Amino acid sequence: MSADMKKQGTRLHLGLLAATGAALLSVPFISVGSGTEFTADILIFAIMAIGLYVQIGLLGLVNFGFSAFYGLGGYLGAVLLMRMSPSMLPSLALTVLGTAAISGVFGWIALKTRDITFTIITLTFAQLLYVLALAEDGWTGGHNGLSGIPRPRLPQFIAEPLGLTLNTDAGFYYFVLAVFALVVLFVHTLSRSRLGAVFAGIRENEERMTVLGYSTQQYKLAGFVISGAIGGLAGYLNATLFGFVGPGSLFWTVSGEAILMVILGGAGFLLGPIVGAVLFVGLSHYAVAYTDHWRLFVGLAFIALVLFAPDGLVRILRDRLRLPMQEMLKIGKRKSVASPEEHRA
Amino acid sequence: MNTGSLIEYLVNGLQAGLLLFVISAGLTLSFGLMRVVNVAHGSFYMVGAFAGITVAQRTGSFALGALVATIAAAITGWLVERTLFRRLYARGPFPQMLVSFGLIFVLDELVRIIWGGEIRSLPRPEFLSHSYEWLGASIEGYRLFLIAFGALVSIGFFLGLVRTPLGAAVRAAVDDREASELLGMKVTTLFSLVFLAGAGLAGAAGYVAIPIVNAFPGMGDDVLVSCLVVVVIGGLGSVFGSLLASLLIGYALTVGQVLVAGYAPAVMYAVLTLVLLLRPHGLLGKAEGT
Amino acid sequence: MNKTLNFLSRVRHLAAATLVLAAAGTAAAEDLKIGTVLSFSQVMGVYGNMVLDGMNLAIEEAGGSVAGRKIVIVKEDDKNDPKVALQLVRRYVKDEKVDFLVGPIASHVAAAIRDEVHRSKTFLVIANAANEELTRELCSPYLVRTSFSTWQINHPLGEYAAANLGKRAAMVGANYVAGKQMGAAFAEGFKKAGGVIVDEQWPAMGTADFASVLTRLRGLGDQVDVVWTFIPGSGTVNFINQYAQAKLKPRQVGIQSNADETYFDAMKDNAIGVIGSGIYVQSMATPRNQAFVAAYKKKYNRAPTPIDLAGYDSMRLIVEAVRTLNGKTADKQAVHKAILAAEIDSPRGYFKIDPATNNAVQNMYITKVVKRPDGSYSHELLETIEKVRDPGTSCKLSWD
Repeated sequence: MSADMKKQGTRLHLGLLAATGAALLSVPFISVGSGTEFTADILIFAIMAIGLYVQIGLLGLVNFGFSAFYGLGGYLGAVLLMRMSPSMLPSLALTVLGTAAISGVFGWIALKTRDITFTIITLTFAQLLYVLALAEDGWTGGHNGLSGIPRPRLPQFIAEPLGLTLNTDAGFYYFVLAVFALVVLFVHTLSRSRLGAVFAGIRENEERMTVLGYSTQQYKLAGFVISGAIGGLAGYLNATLFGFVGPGSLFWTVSGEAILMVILGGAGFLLGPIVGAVLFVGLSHYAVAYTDHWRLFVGLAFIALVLFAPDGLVRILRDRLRLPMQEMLKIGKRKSVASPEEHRA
Repeated sequence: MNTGSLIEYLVNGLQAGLLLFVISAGLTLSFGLMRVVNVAHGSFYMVGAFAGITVAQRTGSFALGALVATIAAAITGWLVERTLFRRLYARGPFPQMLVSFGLIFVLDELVRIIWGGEIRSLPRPEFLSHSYEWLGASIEGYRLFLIAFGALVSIGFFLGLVRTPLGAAVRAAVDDREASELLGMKVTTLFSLVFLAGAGLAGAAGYVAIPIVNAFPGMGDDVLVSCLVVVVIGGLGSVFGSLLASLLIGYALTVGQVLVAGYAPAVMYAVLTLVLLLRPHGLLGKAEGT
Repeated sequence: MNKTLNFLSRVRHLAAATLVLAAAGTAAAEDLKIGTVLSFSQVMGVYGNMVLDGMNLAIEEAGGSVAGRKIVIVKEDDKNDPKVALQLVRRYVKDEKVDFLVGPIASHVAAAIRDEVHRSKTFLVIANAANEELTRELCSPYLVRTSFSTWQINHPLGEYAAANLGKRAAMVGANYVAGKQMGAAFAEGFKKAGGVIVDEQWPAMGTADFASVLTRLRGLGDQVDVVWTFIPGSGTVNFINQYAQAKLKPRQVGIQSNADETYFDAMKDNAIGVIGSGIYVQSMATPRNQAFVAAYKKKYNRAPTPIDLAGYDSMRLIVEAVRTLNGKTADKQAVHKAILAAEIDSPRGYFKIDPATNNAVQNMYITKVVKRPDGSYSHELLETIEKVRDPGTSCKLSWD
């Protein structure tokens, strides 16, 4: 690729990034009624999809039980906020740590298995949590879930000087936006890092990585935990946005929807799950408004997607429209350690 | 607990396990043969039930309903395999799983559109409606029928696998697909057969279960999770393993209902975790690629 | 008239700010907008449509408008999902500026939207969800219930059972909050009339095969006179069919929807003799009810169930209140007073909203399932318990 084209690509890439950033920042000012909340909801789904992307896209582990972490984050956050303290930092930190710990346990068991067995067992973990949440109504509110979850309170030193609060639509939205930006930055950096290169290597050829001397089980577990923690974070935000968390968020079909989001955009790049989340939320809302039999269309869309656009829509945009998206697609993607060019003896 | 209750629990667990085996057998073989995990397998169970019940209610014949249930489910399975899975063999197990996930939505909703959302039931055939007293237990004739049905299918399955040329071909292909293909075996045709047979069995099971658990759209969703657990516990691809696993799960659920009623489904997952911790490839599974 | 919220209109909202605001502001004052928080898909879809049918009949009878305001129903599926319902409520209030909300079917959905309803100062007419707390410790002037509370429907049943069927009961309920609440109410009434609860089983939600549950009941032998059950959804069909198959002796009791018109086809003779308690008896021979049933048969070609009735009465309540207010719904306290004062002549019989709790005060009917000579099934009235009022303990209707 010529230097000019590369430059053009990078400029376009930066320009688009800036435009998106500006649009996102201005949402509370231009949107009407529930628009801000709707956008926050989309961003939260995007965070969840990015979390799953760490497992599927970076590591190549197809987890069909991601709803376990998402729901867990919601419940942990709810219980902490309602029973321990409504302040943000401790509840958020403990939720992320708690979810990470539990995903560590799940991961340790699940990663003893491979491929399809791994996928099925992750599904059953989500179901296990679902059954427990239903039965343990003292803590989880059982079938009713937990409602009346308060918006977290910002720590004094942030809230005071600027008069910030999470109790308003706009306030909470910016909080979600900030978290979203941080997660994107984190995963982008992760994928470009040495660790990310190892992940990519495991995804492409695990045996080779083992031969090269990497203890792949530990790396996979690390990725599993990071992924789960991000999922828990998304769950916390979801619970606090709506003030409600229920066992439905743990049901395994939510995991299927998360996977749909990732592959809709494309599991090959970080942009994929983000685009996928936006499209999925839009699609399902539109389908619901259109017909009571919306499940039929969501199912058909899923099938069509896997059959005809398996690499996701982002790639189609690039190939069909020939947009100079080389640089954009490089976000969150890096050649693996195991491939010839990058291999260091 | 008295003897009567104990006997009833034993019978219930056996019946639940055998019925579960009939449903899961197809899934086990599909996986063993083609590494296909069809999470819409529960939908064949459902389609069979609805097709069968329509015929049974129109004609008044329970047996005819059973036949139609099996055939309808088998045809659905064949269609699904030809139009969807066949395109995806080269792409590995995950696209198949994802496609079948979408398929659940589609089939559930289609059944709802065609048959409506209400629950439907079917009475047991007259000669199977009696209960028998034995040592203080009251055992329903219909549940005995289900045990017989499950046992016959199991025996037929194993005999088929071990004694017939077709069975030998299936076993060979499960063991070593590449070698079988090299030897000239048409594995894809074999697979279509296995897939549609598995679907037919699931449909038959769905139908015969109606007099107990009735039929409603989405009835396959819960059954599916149990099937997946059975397939994993048994060891992917091992039919005998899935028989053992089905019985194990059948009893686990029965015992669970008695001891920890509210948490009964969790018992199943506990068993799964335990088995996988001790034997990561399932009870009788082999490591991938060996 | 039904209208759906659609995604495009939401996108338009996002893009064109003030214009939409201004337009929405002036347009909303005219129509009387009713937002439905109901399920129209999957398992609960049957019930959502019943409530809607009831509402539409009431609107038709009112001539499509009240006090010069056209009645418009804003309909979207809540997917029986509390989170979706929450989002719906917020959208209805912020974007559509609805005047009233009607729904939900499931108690867990109602529990989830309670706070939002109160905070947004929009009246929710609860057409089915029975959780007691909504008209007790979580009561709000904005929550009005036209269906019933778990206590109302189970407590009198408990008293009736102990007085007429026997003093020893076994209970079988689905293991979730609503099920436990139902059971507790029954047990309270049963014990009050001198009964004793001999055994309790709480199988997991979604259980389809109750073999072990029935084995245990059989094991209790003749120590049990009455079996109370509450298995929601299709599970009740499974239970009643399996119970009949197992030829167990004790009488089955429970809320009327365990064995009602929705399920008679699937249960057939297995339902005969099951005793239920409910707010409405379809076969009641009052002129008012007969007119209602006839209207339903004419418009929908089927007979109404208690859920249809609740939808119908909910809409009638709204129409009556708005009529007496001459269409002015801005003063919430006035609306509340109007709702309390409304006389709607319900097909169910006596009906009044309790000023202390906003819950409906009504008769409870104890019925038994019988088979008519023509082969169809119906409920025979055994006893009417007049003007049952939920005690509404710890309810303080407060406007903030």
